[in-house]
Amino acid sequence: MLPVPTQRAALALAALVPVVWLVPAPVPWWAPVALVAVLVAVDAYRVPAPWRIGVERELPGVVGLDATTELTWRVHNPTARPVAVAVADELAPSLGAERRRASLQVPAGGRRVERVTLRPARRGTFRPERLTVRVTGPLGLGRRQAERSLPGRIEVHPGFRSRAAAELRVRRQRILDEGLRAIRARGGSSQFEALREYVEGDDVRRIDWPATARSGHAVVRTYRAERNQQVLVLLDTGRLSAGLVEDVPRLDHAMDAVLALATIATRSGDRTALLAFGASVRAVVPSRGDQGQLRRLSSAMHALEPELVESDYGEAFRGALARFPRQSTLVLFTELGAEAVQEQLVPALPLLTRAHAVVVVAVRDPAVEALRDAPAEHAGDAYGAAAAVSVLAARERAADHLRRLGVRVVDAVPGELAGRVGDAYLEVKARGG
Amino acid sequence: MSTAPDAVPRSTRPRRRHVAFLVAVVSLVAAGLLAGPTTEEAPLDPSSSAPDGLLGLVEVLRASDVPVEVGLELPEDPTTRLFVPLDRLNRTRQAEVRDWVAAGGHLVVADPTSPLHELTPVGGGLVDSIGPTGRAPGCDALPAVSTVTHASWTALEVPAEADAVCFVLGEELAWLVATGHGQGTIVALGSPDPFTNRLLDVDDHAVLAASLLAPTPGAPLQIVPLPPVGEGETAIADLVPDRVWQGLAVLLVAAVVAAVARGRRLGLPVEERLPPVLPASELVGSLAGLLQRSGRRGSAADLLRQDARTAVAAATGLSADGDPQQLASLAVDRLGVDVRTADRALLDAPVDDDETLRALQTAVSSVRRRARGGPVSSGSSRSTDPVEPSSPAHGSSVSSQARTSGSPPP
Repeated sequence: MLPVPTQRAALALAALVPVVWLVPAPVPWWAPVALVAVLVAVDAYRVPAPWRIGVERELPGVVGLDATTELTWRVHNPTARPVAVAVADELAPSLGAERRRASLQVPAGGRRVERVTLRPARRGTFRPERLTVRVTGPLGLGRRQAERSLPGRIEVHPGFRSRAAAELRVRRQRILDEGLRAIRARGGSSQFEALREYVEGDDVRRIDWPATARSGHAVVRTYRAERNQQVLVLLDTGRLSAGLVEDVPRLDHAMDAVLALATIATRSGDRTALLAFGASVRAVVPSRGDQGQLRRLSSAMHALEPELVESDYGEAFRGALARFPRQSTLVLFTELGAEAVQEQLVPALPLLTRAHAVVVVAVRDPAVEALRDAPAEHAGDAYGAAAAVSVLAARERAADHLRRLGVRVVDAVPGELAGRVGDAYLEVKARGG
Repeated sequence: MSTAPDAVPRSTRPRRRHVAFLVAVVSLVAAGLLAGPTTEEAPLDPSSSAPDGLLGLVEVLRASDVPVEVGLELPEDPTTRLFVPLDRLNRTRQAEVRDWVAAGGHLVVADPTSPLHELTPVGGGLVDSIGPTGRAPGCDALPAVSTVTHASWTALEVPAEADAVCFVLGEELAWLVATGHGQGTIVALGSPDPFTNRLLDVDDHAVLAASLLAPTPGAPLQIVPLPPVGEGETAIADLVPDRVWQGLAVLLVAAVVAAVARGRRLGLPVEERLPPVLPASELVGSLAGLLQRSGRRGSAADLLRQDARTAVAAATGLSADGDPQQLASLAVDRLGVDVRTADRALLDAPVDDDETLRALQTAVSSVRRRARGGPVSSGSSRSTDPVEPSSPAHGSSVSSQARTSGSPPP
């Protein structure tokens, strides 16, 4: 690119105006302009070409949503003169960079490093590529700039705000594990652990008659929940997942709960799998039970954005059963919109409920409840409350309908969602559905 | 789409603007005070000894016994020659001067752009101002004048009816053209420079002046000065000194340079496609708007009352579809709800206006809080709900009986 004058050149010209006005000598008006033009040309001639300046960008590969990380620019000046270098990076606003430009004085043959803090505000894969380098002359009157191609990539993974709630449930589960009486049932299995005396409340079907005959008093078999069960998460990314609840899309609240569920399941010795769907299957994470599964789930979900389409539950369920035929606890994250449930979800549910324990999870909007519960200041508030009552009632009817079909329903506000999902999973695991 | 933030803190920009504005104001004031014109140095002033003044010409002529007058009023003596070194007369005065010439007067105009001589000027400007100085030979009409210095002169197109042409500068171009007008003569010159103090003693300029302005000893001469400010065809911009215009031209170039400098962004704006967002409660808002715009107060009231009944039923173990009177009674007895509030929230009654609906929602909200074990609020604190005779609240309602039964709330 051709050199261009700087603001300083314009200021120099402006500074010469009083001289033209006040000096009585008959100077042609263009003389100061010519003088500054010559200086700009000389200055620009002494500027090294921008592509001779070495520039590197260092990006962290992965960062969590709402976490803080650093981006580093490294600038190298191979010329024999110190230069003033400015760089501007192609950082998307959602990356939350404190700034995307930096100005550096780089000594001859030297290097300079500049760091900026990133606080991403949105999930996704960001690919900054163009980096503009501007080099200014020693007088500061002329400059040259050029764009450089430095392809980069940073993944912003879903935030895990409910980590503490998940850890709490893991610890609680370990404490209760000793006294847990697991019952073999649909959607789960159990392993024989020990014999003990019968106490009131024990299931009579668990009485071990040979041991009772030998000991002379009732003895029951105790079981512990079998490890290595499979939890299959079905994540709905259709249009209803785009709705903002507490200024965050429902999908993001669901992802937080998915990570909490995966944490609890993995630490309980179970395997977790994921199938994300909208109008079609969008992402699949194979069933694994190791510690790396949380990262795999996070990686698979990070680039998922809500689709403004109707979710195809039937397609998703068939795909899930084909990929994961093993008996599982299926946790479906979706929305309890009355029409969607009646017309799409309910007809497809028998595919799952025949052989699997199913938990349907939905994000409840506290704003709607607040609208319903608030005393009316104006007539509009009363109509709003009536509308909220209508919507919540429809939602409750949809949930009741699902419960009648043998499905466990978790409908909770964001702050409680992850914990409630974890509790539901542990309950299913303990009772087998 | 959104764009990335700028690196320059915006808080410093207003300060810069203020400084620039202050500098500009000070410079303009200084220019006005110091670079403005002074009356002593007006160009071609017959009383000025400045290089471009005409005092030398006046003194030389007076030394040659030529009576020289300076004034705007036209001379009554027809033998008086009239000299206009710089024409800034208004149209009325110009017409008077031409009438005076037509009546037999002799006029010398040294302003090539003057309408007085009606000749077309050619040339002049930047090229001449920095070009070489040339010399023009004399002519038969002025035998005593051999050469005059040619610098920054403007030539005049020679008309066919010209009486005399001197100092030819090109084809059909000359520096001196004399034409008849009525009974008089108008001599037009391409420049007043030879008569100025600076050039009067150069070449044959003094002889030229004497030949043109005082050809016979004792013949009077009247020099027409610049008219007072405000008179004539002078625009206000003409009063601004050239140096101020030159400074403003430099300032304009500086502004263009600043625009070019700022126009080259350091890094293009970063576009980002954001995922679709919409409030999850949008449906509720839309439904509320529909209810309100269509005036369906009855439907809204039914929804609210049903919700209140459901809450009370859930808290008391009854069915929500049970007798509303019974539910109201239970709400008073077991939940401690105010009788009036319970009746308004649970019993069917017509809702005739929006204010009644508002009061109903407040009552329902209070009942719901009580049903959940929350603190009770004055259900009708803002309500001035008129009590209707037909209202169940004033009939033999179970609630009223419960109110008088003395049974304390749980």
